[in-house]
Amino acid sequence: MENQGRIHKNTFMKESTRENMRMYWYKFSRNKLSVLGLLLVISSIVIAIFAPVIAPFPQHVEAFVDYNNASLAPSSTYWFGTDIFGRDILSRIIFAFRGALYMSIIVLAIAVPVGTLLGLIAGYFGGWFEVVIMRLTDIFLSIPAIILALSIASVLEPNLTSSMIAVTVMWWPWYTRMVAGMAKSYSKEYFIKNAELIGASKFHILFREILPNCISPILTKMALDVGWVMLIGATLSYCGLGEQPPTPAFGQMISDGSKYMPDLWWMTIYPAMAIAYIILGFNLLGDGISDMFNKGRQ
Amino acid sequence: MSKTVLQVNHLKTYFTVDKRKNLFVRAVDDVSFSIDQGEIVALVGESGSGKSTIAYTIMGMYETSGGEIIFDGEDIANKKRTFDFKKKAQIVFQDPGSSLNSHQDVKEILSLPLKVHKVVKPSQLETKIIETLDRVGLSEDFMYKSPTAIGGGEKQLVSIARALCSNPEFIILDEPTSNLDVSIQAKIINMLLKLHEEQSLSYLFITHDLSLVRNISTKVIIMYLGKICEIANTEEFYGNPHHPYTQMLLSAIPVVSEEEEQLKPSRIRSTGEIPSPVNIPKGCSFNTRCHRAVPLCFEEDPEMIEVTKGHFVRCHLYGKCKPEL
Amino acid sequence: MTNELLSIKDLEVWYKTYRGYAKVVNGVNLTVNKGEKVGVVGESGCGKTTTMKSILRMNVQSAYVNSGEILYSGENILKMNEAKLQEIRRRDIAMISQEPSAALNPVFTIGEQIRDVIRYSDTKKKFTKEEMQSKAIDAIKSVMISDPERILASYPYQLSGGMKQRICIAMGLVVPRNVLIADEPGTALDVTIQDQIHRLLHNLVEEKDMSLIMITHSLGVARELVDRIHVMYAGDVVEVAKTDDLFKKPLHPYTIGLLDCVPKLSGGGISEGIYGYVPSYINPAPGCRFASRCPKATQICREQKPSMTSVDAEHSVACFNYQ
Repeated sequence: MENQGRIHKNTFMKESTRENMRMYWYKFSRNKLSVLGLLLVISSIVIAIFAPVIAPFPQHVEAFVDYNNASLAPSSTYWFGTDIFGRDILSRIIFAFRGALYMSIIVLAIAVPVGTLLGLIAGYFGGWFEVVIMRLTDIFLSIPAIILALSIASVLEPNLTSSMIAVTVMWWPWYTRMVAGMAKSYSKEYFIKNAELIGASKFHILFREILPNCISPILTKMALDVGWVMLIGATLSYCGLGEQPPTPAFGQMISDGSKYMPDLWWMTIYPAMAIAYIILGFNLLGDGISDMFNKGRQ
Repeated sequence: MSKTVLQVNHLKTYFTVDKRKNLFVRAVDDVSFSIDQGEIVALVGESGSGKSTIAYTIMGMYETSGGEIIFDGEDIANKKRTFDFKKKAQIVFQDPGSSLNSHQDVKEILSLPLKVHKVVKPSQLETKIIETLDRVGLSEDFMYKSPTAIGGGEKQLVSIARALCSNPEFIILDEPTSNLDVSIQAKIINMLLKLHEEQSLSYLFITHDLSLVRNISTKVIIMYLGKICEIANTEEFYGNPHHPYTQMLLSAIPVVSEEEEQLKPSRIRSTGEIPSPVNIPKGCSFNTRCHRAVPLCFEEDPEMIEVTKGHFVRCHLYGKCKPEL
Repeated sequence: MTNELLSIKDLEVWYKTYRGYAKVVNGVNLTVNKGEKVGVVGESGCGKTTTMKSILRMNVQSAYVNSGEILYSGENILKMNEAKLQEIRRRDIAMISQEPSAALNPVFTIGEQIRDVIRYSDTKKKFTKEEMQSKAIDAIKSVMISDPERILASYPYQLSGGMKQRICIAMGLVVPRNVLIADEPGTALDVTIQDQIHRLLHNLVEEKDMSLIMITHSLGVARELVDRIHVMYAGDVVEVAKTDDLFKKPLHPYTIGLLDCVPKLSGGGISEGIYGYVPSYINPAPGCRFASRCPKATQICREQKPSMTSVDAEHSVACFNYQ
């Protein structure tokens, strides 16, 4: 739509930002599921941050044994029941959110910049840069992710840090591949040609011209990936390679509980539901973000 | 005698299709012309005629396969374009949507050439941007707008403003208005003409619209399949179009008044399709569509002939096969 | 009039946006008589394509018809059930789009696509393969393509843009139609090819005695092709006239301005263009939508919307200067 009229100088900047926010929110909230996803994610983050305050029995997170209350079914005191050591499942789940979110954030905070940078270089410069970087990416992508992570995690000491290293190593190639594709197609666009013809530096072209255009797909993928990283983290900890007891982690809780299925079902079902909750949240949010950045008429 | 800004001699740009079979697309084939300071030269042709390829070759985006490009007295063909060239020669592309980065605002877009070529001190950046916007007829409100929030015509004005930032002496305009409405086109063309007068800029104006060319240019070059068919000064060209292709082009223009209808060459029905540039016909490349083709046209490629002073035609009808009158 | 074939009455189409409703088509009236060639001329975003798409109910989901009716031989298309509408799309009204490459499916041959059009044109009747083939060949021949068999066996990517547009026309005309809507059929093509396409359309429509609605942004094209022109501006039809009258005696300030902007082959420079820009369709100001750009605007223009007034029998204009 054509713009209309003049907007007064002192206010137009705020005006246009507000306008953009309204447009983004409109596009995002058109799908009610995205809003649900946002709520789930916000609640997960709140739970993780305020875990010590929210958890009814924060002391149950550490090495704690109370055989008098062991293996209790859900009740008004222990909403999600207790495990075989008498620890409150709900409190442990609440603290497990912390570990899971912490892991995803660290993994993505390393994998995304590395992957993006390599992708920009490969996509824009082409030639040998592209050959080397993309083949390296292919090598990493050709090894089944979980096996790579399992082998790295088992070579290193089994703890949260090494599982994070393992997941990071398998995660960056996805970003490299995605960004390289975008950078390659953008480098044919006229605004890049114009910048080159004006004589702009390579740094400017990579980070000021191409990168901003790649941000929205990267954000979308990141939102979706938070869930996936958690899932991989849970898988590793299920195999005993993640967070070590007594610190709670989803995979490890499910793995412990599965030995007592179906009698002590609450030991398995509730942590599993918690994973589903958080992953569903991030997936719906990711879809919403992708709708939000979707070009085209409102 | 004003100085020559750009001189193109026997320029060739070939693209390899198949190395082993020695197949080339002769996108630009033996093209020569010159642009003097303060001249507006119109380069007219249909798709595949190589008009944009010429522009991109001059700007150094493609390698030349032969010939010379003399800019400011220096042959720059197949040389890396210098910083100085990047300052003096600018290009405005056809598609205003894709030539502006939608993730920057207008201020950022215009700062790039100002910063790169150190046109002004950083403290005066903003003043200079406002001044440049003013020159293309945009208010300073546009400074913080994103290209997605403004119309197509305004985007093209921003593109032109960006080209003006480094105080160039030569601008290539690659169909700057063909995606725009006529009322917007009128504004942009008038603005370009005003700038041209004020600063004696030279333009290479690439277009397919012959009625627009009539109103703006000093010299017209008609291209067909990589070769020049006809070059003449505007007055001479419209008064006396020689090449059969030119006549066909002129008669295909939809016009809006009876007066213009009179100016068209007697209705020549355009026939046939433009051949693929990979497979250019033998002899004169226009022979498949020409209504006046003689046998020689299928045998031999005609030479450039100067019919009257400054009016060149590449056609046998004005050379070897001149009809007896 | 008795031979009125298609008429659009007070059509309003709104688009839903995050800022509210964009009133893109603002009460358009248009009639097409049998065998008549009608042009709809306007600049981009004036609602001409939206109006035409409403005729076959092909608008995107966010657009909806707020009011008005579209009568096709006396029946309201907008109120029809799907089956009936489908019949009209198959047999009565064809549309040719601006982008021929987007209108053809790249994975089927031209022949397959034309045969589909024939097959669905009459679902009760079973066409034999030979019948369809010969009809398809006739259709291709009618658009001046010399070797129809080869074309029918080729895929869209093997053909040039002009060729594809001819195929689209052939597809529109392979079944005898009453109305052909052509949405800027030449805009994506080269000047000489465009000329050929327009001439072809003109001849075919005359020959088959069909009605043509030609949408274009170019007054020159409309002048060469159609009998009657509707000039649209910002969702309104501002002037309707016989082609000759319109060019000899344009009345609406917008038409005059638009004509002035067209570069003339006779030279003489280019006019200044029309002041300002197209207004927003969201919460537009009351009154004439051209008022903000109009050199002759008066107080009343900013307050009331002018209605169509007949200046003479075939020439009407929506402007207070002529009331």
